[in-house]
Amino acid sequence: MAQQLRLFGLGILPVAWVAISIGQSKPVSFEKDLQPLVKQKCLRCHTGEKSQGGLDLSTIAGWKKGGVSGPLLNLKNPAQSLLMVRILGTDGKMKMPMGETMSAAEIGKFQTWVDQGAKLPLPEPSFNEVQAIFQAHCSGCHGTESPKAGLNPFTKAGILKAIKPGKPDESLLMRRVLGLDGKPQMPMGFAPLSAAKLDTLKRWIAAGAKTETKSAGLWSFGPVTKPVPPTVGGTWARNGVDKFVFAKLQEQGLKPNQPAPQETLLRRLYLDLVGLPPTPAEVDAYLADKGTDRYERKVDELLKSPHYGERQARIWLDLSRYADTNGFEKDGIRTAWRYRDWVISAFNRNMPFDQFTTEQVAGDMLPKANQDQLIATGFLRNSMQNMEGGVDQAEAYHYVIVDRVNTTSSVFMGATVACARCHDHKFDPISQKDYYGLYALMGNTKYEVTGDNNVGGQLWMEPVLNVIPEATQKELDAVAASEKDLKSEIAQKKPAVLAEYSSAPAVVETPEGAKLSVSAPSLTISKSGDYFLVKGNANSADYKVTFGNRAANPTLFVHAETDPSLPANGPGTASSGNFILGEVFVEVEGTIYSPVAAASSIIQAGYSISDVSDGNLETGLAAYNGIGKPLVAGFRFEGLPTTGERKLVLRFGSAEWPNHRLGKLRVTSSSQPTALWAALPKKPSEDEILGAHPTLAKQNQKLRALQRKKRALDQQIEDSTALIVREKPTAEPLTAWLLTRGEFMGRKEKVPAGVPSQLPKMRPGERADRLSFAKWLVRKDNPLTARVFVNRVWQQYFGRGIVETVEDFGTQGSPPTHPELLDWLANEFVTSGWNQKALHRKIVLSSTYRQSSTVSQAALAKDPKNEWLARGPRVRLEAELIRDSVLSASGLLSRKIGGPSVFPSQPAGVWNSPYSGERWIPSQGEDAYRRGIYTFIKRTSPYPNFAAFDAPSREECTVRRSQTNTPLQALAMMNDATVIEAAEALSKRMTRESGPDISSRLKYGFRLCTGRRPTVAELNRLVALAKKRKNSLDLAAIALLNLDETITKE
Amino acid sequence: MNHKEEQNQIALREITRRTLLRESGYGVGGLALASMLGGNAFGAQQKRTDPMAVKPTHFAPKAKSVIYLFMAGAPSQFELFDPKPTLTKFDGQECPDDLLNGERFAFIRGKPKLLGSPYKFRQAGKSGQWVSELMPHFDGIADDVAVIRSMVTDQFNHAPAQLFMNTGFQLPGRPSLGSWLTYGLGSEREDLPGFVVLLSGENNPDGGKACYGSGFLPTSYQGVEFRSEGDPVLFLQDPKGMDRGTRREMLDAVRDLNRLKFQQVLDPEIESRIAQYELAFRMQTSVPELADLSKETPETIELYGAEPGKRSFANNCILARRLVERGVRFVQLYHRGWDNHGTGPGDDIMTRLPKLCKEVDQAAAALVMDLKRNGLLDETLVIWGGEFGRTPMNEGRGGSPFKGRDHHPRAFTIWAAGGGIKPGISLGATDELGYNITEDPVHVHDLHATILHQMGLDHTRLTYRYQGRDFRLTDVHGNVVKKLIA
Repeated sequence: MAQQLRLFGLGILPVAWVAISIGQSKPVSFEKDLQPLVKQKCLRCHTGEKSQGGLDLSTIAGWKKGGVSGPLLNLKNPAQSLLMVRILGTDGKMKMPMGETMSAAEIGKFQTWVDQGAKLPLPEPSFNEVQAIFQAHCSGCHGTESPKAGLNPFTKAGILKAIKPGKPDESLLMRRVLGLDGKPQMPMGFAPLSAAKLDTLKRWIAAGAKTETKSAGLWSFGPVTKPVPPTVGGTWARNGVDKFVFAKLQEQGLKPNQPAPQETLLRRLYLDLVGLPPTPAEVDAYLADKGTDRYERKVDELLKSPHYGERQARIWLDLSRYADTNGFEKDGIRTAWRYRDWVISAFNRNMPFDQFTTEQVAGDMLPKANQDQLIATGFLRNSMQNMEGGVDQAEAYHYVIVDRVNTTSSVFMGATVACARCHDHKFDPISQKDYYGLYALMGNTKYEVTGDNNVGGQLWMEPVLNVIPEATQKELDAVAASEKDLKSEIAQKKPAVLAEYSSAPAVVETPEGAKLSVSAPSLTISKSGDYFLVKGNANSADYKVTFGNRAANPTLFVHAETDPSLPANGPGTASSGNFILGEVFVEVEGTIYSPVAAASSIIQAGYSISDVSDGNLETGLAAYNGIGKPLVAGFRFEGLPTTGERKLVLRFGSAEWPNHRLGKLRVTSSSQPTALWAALPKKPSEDEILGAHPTLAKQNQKLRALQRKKRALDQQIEDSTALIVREKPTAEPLTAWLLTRGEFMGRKEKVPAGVPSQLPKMRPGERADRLSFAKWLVRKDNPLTARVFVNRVWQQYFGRGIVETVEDFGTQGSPPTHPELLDWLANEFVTSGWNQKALHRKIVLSSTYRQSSTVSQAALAKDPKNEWLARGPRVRLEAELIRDSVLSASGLLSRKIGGPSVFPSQPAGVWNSPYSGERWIPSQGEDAYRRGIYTFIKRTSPYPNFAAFDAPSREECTVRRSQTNTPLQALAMMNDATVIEAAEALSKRMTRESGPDISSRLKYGFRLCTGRRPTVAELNRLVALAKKRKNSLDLAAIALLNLDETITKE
Repeated sequence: MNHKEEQNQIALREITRRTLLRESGYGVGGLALASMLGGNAFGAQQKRTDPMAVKPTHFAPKAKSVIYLFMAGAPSQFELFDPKPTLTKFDGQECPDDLLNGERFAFIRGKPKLLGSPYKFRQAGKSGQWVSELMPHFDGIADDVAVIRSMVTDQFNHAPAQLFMNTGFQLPGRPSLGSWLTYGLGSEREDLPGFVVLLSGENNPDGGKACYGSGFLPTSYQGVEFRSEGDPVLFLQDPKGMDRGTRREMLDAVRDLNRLKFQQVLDPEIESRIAQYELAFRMQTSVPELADLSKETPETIELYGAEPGKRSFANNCILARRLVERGVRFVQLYHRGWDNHGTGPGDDIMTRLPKLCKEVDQAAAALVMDLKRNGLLDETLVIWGGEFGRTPMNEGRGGSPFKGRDHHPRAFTIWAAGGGIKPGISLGATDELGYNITEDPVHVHDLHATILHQMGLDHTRLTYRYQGRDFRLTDVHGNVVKKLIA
């Protein structure tokens, strides 16, 4: 018999134990040796689920589960098992079995069995397990209405045909899956069953092939328990998180790691809470702070930072599959960024997660839904939309709803509901009916049918909300008011102006322009009669015509002429024959005079001749409607000085439409006040007369400015629409078609709207719709929502969820490593009023989080995945955060929050759509350096640098990004223009902001990238690199940005 | 190397091997990979630890590489490979009702008219394979090719059908064929991507980058585009003013600093990153060398009808041969433009289709011939085909006078050559009007199963655990087409 000696350490180590086993014993079998004893001594009190201490010793499951005092057996350290503690009474409590006695030999049997590893026999497989095997491997042929060979294992009769209870060797089922009797091995055409599955079937038959189904028993569908943190961990444990973690560490024979160095911890905290590294100044201030609560204060400060919302949104936008295009073949642009702003703001306002959920799932259905709540429903609208010509729109819309159901159930329920679209879930208690119940809840939304179905051009469009910010509305109101005032002024002068027009003499024009010069050297000028002919290619050019009219208020006419040498006969030089006259002004000795009025005989729709003085070369006069026709445009100037050379300047330079200039022209002038009207092809309208009259010049100028402003505001509104959903008003209960095999054409039966039947029911009497579903999701007795959310939050800190498969809380997912911790966090979260910041705070304040990520080889071998958290996380940064860190270190980063998506530089030619002529025009100024979260996302052409670092395409919901390490990442870090530009800036910054010598500069650069001071060896290596390059820091800057540590949170 | 360093190296190797399992399999999914690797992964001969490391096949493979010539937009089988005299006889007559009842078409509305092919057919090669006058170069390969006239798909719009043909599923999000293959087999060359995509034709595929995406597999398995303008691989070129020596110096410094860090924290990911940087450095040489066609003989250039320096299908065909020569596992060429509806001269079968055939016919034939004479055809599986077929009816959208055909998923033609495929055969047949299949239907899933089979993989065993279940390229379908196998 083995003897045990235990030492309970006190003080330094909270709990330590040493076990010494002496001697060898022959194996003790649970079935043969222990079970008779258990039956005799224990089962009187410990039988059934409601037995003493919650301990059921009549089943193997009960042995595994233990009772209210915790697990009975400690399989990692059997000697610590509660079983022996209670039998031996070492905890000071009454010895078990109570009221019975056991001989030393009997106790010895238990002891030896425990010492030998407490091996329990495999439990009898439940019928559920067996059914899952049938579902996965047999249902294709045998689960149908006319099963192959007449055998259906899903009916009792079918089972009796194929099985002899208690006799696996004689059962047809076993013989066929083993491939005996010279017949093809089942499942036919598929890989044979695994050894484990064969064993399950065998044991099930051997044990009598019972067909009672138990309630599903999926752990995550059960209510959230309220575990109390164990009293372990001593002073190391700062809060409940640590106590649960410590208990597990103990079980695994592991010890917590050292705390991370302060600089490392601070950088980790910054990256986790705001997604940006701390600056050296912030690090210094923190280290200089001698307050004992400096860490707590820093946590609170960062939680209040507006960048906190951006950091959280980065993650949420993967879940909500946010993108700026529709996806599929056409992949057209959508304006959806208002939703992104809503997400950032909701996180920053610390919106309780129940409200956060309700607004996104059913914001439109809330009573008196406001603009923000409507924008929140963008969550549902982020689905792709297939606008390819010839697509059956009913089918396309069906897939939108499918995506909605799948995304919502992944994000909030952590359930692979999507499996049940085509068939009952093979593993989890979710039926196909359940799926279409959810489909009915989420699919009753409005759309508008547009386009012509006769040519396959129909589209079903869901609602778009015009978002007018308060400030914009105020500006619009102000513009309208001023416009009204001006118009009434003009109306007063109207009779006099009209009278003058009707009595005006015929206009006399004088030929002008002895000389024309052009600013582009690639252009040549030749004269043809009065006309100048301009030849060659130039995307932009100024034409300057010197003129002799000396009147103070002259009108100048530009006569554009057609010519066979011009494309499409002109009058423009573009291949279409068009031109864009961007700006017109008169230059007198360096001073510029803009026209006060302008008119043209032809104006292309969408262009306005008054825009020739708006400073924008994309707008102005164009004439696509007048290709091949001559055109005359007049410009009236006022208050020109009487001396000095006068030049009329015509400026061309549209970036969007290159080489759009005039090809053949001449200039005339007139000094008559009403001359401008001569430019108009027919009798001018009253408005045209008023718009061109010199006495109204000031009013007209103001009016044009107002109209330009209004256009800009309108454009702003157009660029800030939000995609939303609206519920269809429906009186009847909602239903959906259950589709056979999930196929769009496979309508089978209508099923009512509802939630999966194995989860808590919706409230009786409440209409089952999207709103009641949203409320159900965040009801206190919903077992999934809180667990799934806290688990994902856990993942963002530790790189791994308590349930590793954050997307799957089903039987095929991983079980939680720390189930009590998960429930405790979920429970605290709900009790706190779904307070998100409080949850984040709790985690980052824990000692668990503050551990160093340095690992010993022994620890790595023992826990390679860091499942048990005996060290801190070390994880490569997400794609967007790499960009943010690089820009931040270099000082280029713009910290602007929110607004439309931006187009940072990307290699040319990446963005090619099958149809659209859209081009990626890099953003200028601050927008070139915005955080990664604002980069425009085109679904069929992801931003290359992000794609290299595992950013998803956002075509569907991504709960967990992969983490790869590839040569393409190395290339992106070495050569992407953004990184190179950042390196140059970093090099300058090191010189600018730090000491004069090379090593202090490099030390500073190292701190900018890694948040810590370099070691001597590290600094020496950097200095050596710089010295080789004649002390230039440029190469060292690239090297710094390429360090593993720069792109890693540790 | 001193003793301590040596010990570190040994420890490191152990650690990186373990990391391989963790990282390349991505969590629980790693089980699938781990079981495929068997015991060999830990053997001494196993040097590579990257996700593209070569992995054992399920059984002896027939082919080592695949070149997939994807004719995006869907070529018309009636004009190329599937002659239908009866259809020609009834040209211009209304389509029989029983073919239309319950059918959904992309663009055809009302009662369409039958359209016989305006092109002449001939029998090519000793095998006498039928082919039309639009493909004059087919004669040179007819005896090496298996023509499959009985392909069938589930999808009848471009984006979903291209996704289906490439990933076995009609929505984006699943791994593509090339990703599955490189996930299952790895790739021999370390300094080249295992899965390369080459684009030509009027534009990129309709299904977008998801056509060669890795779906839920790690992104290292996604297709890498070799571009015809700018860097052949994105970010390949060093920045202006940086020569190779300077780059090497920078890399040495980064490596040394990363090593110092590794000694502090012992995270095996750091060693892996060091290795990836070295690989990237080598790729900067190997990729331009590969993309440089100047080493090809004028005779070869002429055989393909290529013009080096242009974005063309012919150039891409030469590149494809160079890629498989160097051990790249899966090369996919997309040539888009086959969507010949007949809404105008730009997309009809009288002007547009002959042009497209000219762009493709010679180079595709040259590729098979060139592989053959270089002894590569036996181990390279070449596939030519689109995402679906075309209707036997003229589309006549909005009364268009131009001839063209709508999308048709029920029957279309592709061909395959090399890699253990039976040469010189025609498989399958369609009815007199070419509407339905009458013999040996080959579903997209069957084609996938067959491709995997030729590469030594059992399509039912090549799985990846994602969101709670094992996924396959062929979902729960697919049969290896035995009749195609030599």
